[in-house]
Amino acid sequence: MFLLLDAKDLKLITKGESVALCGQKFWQLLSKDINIGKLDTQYQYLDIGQEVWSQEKNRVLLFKRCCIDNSLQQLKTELKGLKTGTYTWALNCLSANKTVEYSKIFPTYQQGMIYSQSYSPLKSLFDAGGCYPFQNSSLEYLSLSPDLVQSWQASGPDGMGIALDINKLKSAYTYSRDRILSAIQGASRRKISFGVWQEHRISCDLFELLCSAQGRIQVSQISSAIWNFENLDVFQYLETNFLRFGLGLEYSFHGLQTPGLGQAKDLSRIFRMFLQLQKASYTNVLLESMGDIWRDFPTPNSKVNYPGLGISKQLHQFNFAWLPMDTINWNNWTMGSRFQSTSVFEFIQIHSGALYKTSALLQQRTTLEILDQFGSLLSHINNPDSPKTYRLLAYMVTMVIQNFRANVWTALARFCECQWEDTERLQLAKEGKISLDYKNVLYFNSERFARIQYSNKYKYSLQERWEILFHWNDKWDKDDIRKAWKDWPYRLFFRKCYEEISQICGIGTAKSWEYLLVQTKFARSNFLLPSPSKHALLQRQTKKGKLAKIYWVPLVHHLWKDGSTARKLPKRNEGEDRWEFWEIDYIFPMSEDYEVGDKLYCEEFTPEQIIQRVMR
Amino acid sequence: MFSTHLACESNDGESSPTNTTSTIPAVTLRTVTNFLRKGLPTDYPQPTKMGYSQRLSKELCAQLFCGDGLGSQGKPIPPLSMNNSIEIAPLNCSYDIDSFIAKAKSLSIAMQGIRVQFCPNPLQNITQNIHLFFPIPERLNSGKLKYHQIPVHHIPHFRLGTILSTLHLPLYVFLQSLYQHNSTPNSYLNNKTLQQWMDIGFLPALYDHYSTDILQHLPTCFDSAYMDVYARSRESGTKKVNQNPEIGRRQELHYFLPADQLENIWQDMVTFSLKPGYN
Repeated sequence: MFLLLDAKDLKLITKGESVALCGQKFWQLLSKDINIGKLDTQYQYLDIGQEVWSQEKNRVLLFKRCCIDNSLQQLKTELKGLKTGTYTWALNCLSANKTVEYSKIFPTYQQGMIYSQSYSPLKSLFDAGGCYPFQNSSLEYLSLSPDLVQSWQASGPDGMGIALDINKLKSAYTYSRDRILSAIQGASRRKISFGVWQEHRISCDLFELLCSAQGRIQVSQISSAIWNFENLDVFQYLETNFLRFGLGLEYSFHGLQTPGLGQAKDLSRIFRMFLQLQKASYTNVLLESMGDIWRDFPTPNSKVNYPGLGISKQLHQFNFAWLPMDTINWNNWTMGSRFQSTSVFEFIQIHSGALYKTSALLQQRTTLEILDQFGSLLSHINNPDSPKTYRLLAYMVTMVIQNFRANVWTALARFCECQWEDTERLQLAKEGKISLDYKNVLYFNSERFARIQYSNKYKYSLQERWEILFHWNDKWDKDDIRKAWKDWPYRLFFRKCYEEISQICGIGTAKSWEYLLVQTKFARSNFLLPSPSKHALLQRQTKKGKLAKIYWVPLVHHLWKDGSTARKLPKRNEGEDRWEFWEIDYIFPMSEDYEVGDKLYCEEFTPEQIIQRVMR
Repeated sequence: MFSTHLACESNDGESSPTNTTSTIPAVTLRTVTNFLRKGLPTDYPQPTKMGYSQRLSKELCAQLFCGDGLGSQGKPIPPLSMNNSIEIAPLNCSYDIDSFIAKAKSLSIAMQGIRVQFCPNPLQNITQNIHLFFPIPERLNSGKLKYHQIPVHHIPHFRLGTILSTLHLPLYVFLQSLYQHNSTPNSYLNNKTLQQWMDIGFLPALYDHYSTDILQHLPTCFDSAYMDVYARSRESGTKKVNQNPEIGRRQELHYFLPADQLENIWQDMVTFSLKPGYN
């Protein structure tokens, strides 16, 4: 056990004209209240700071970048074990800050030289007690399209989505933005001048030595290593530089929020690019750590194998961060061809609490992106009668039904324990590859399911139930019964498919797609429907002292009602195979003997394979 | 060591012009600012609103983001520069001591007394890298001791309080033997440890040395101190603290300990920390 004193922010109390004077002031103040003899003489460190400012009014001093680089180079040749960082100022090559960390195993550290930094106090404009703007790493979530946010919020691997409050993040962004602008405007109004700082953490012994040699500190020479700007020039520069990237960011944000304004995937990437640029546009930032911006072509042994924005090169060429002309195709806001097939700005930082959900989140993102690809293929083919269009539409049915099954199975797995012997099947079910028919559902956990009774309070027809489960913007929206189902990802997926088809192939095609393909296929491959309820995802039967059960809605084809025991699926493309011949089955005994549901169209293929086949 | 801010040889600032652009006259910061300002729409940004819905033309984007049009027509974009031609006015210079970090040998370092908190707030721990280290021994399988230099902000500690002084001097207690090698560094202590430190070590020492008139103002145990800290927010019944930002979740309660007995208390604490199970 030991005691440590850690006093901070003494700057203004101890200011003095020379090192020795401020030392004197400090020890005087300290020894009034502290028993100096009780301090460990071997373990005393202090931060000695030097501020240099111009005697002229309305100036801002900044360190010259070249001199910073040069001094670091010089230090590195003289001393071993240095860890240095150069913080580029406001995305230009004129000025920078630096930090130097002396390694603890080298003599410099042992002699008492711990850490040095030289910086422009301009950054203190944005410092709210250690909270700098845009520090919230979740701001990247704003780059997601509303569809994706909705599906991430609604579902995850265990049925629980991740908690994202986009409105809160929006206000976090605007708050940071407005804070920066008001700080800059305040500084311009008051015409504040700024000098340059350097600060060194050293041991008290070294400090004594420094005091005795203070005559050797030469300030006059520093003037040729710093820029001397008019303060308004600097403030206005910071403001415009900050605003131009903000404009790009907010324009891409608007595009993301408004459907039809562009490809969500590209707009997302552009948003993230602007976010990184904006973070670096008004203050000192370690640009080298923002790989996607900094890198031009990857270094030979790097794990990253795609080129970045190449700001390093631009800074070298123009001393300023002009983006290369081919970065973005400004006509339709898509990434330039150089970046099209790369992963630059693809990644987003998932907050640590949701890390274990990452693969499920990625899956959902991929699903939505694939849908976008289907859409562009459909509009490329541009012929509703083509067999290729039919194939795509049929495969979209497969995806809708798989999504539906996946959601329902996930909800079931949350509700009760899976009793299937083959545990791998559960994983398949959660991927939507197991159909919802009698056997599968009842053997899942036979004690926890109940067949819907005719006396059930919700007396909806099959078509009504379908509408509750799949449609949107209709009378059911006001009804509580859809409340708990509203945000299910499969609904979102179905809606996106429907809207895409009606946009590209016309509303008529979309309607018949739903009726002829989705509904019929649905009845043929899923014999059981979950029953929605007001308060829970699945309607439950609760009896005192017993475990709750889930209600199931069995479907029956009108051919089966004639008493024949064998339930055979109606032949396809004949009059009997239509959605309106199916209805809800309250009475007929469920026999073990029935024809297993249809396979889905091309269900063994991945969407990518389908796209490839159609492209061929 | 300190004169690292000498100008480099090319201190005119035209540090890195490349061959292709060196023939083009450079532009100043003000020119670039004015060039960008011309392009920025006047209706952006609107306070507290996010998103910009007016269409940005291709030409405007090329101007704002790629600098298209900054140079004369058909010529490459000129580099940014700064003419430091103005004779630099004389500079002022001042010095200060911004922070002070030191190890104290005893609590009696405080000549006027200390304000302590019996339920320390983990948010007040040292979380930033202060670039200082402390040797912590590890017993190797061979039986030998090996000393590791551990960054101070990774060693388990808590903030005991502040020393009564003109300067703001927070005092931290470090329990270096609780440091765990081979696990993610974590400077926080759990309530169980704090409770033992307070109830078995610190509070009994206080009760041994201070008189009743002082003791009656102090909490009696860690648990009651813990409950006192949250009393205002929990008992006011307002669950949503966000709605009433005046009420913090915690109240940082500090209690004053006069200086006269601090040395004795520290001696007791040292004895406590040497007991088996606590070292």
